[in-house]
Amino acid sequence: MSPNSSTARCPGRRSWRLRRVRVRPGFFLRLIVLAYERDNPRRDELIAELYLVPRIERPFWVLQQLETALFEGLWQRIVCAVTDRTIYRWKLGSGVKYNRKHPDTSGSPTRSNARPLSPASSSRGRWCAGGSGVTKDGRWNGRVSRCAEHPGPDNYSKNAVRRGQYDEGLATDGSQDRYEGD
Amino acid sequence: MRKTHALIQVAIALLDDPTGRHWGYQLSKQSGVRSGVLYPILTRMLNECWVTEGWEDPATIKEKRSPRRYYELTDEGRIALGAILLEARRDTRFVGLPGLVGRSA
Repeated sequence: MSPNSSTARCPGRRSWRLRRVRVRPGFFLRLIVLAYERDNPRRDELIAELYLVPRIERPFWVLQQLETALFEGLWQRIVCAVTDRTIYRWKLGSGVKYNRKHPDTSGSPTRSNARPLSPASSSRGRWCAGGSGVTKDGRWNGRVSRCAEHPGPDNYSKNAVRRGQYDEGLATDGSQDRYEGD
Repeated sequence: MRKTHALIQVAIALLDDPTGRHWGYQLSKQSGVRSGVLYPILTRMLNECWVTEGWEDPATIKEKRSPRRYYELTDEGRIALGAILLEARRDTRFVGLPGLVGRSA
């Protein structure tokens, strides 16, 4: 006799199994908090709070956290991913455009200036091409250095090129390299 | 910050113990605001520097659980929330809100 048929004949056994695989709020909460960014303190906060909630209320409390996580965590992630926002309500602008407007403030190195860069080295240009989060400054350097190892337009991020976030380092009239002699 | 019923209720709960530590679940119970609304309010208060946050010292925890995050009102927060409560008492939208009447801000 197959185990399924025995379960079908014996409803008591089925309910016993259901009771064994009972709802585990802690497990579901740990899944829910994954909606928040990895460094978001809300993840640890909610898990710590759960054990102070009376047992009977826990499933409902966890469901409430699902709502919070969807609108606070997941929504924020989507907004950041779609709009290039570094932080919620902040928008990552084009460093190239800003630098063209205010040449003395910040800049992106030319390809020739980027060539000696190695991963994690500090560079004058700090503009991140696409993505979300200020932590991607370092990645920019990594990209630049990869470009330096294998020069060529294909090594630049296609999305960044599309958005015009790579700078050739030319002066506003396009005549000279802004960073020559730096 | 936009004045809502939830904000007023959270402000009342925070100002019940202006110098003490407040915990998320306890605040939710005390104010009657569900956590889906409470946590975004607390985040905005943190951004406005009305509250500071901290974590329980693990050495002081006797049960087997992880340290909790607490919130403490700053001086700026006490003034700002006091002003909000004062305005709310005059606002007809908040008439009859429990805990608001008779509270000195």
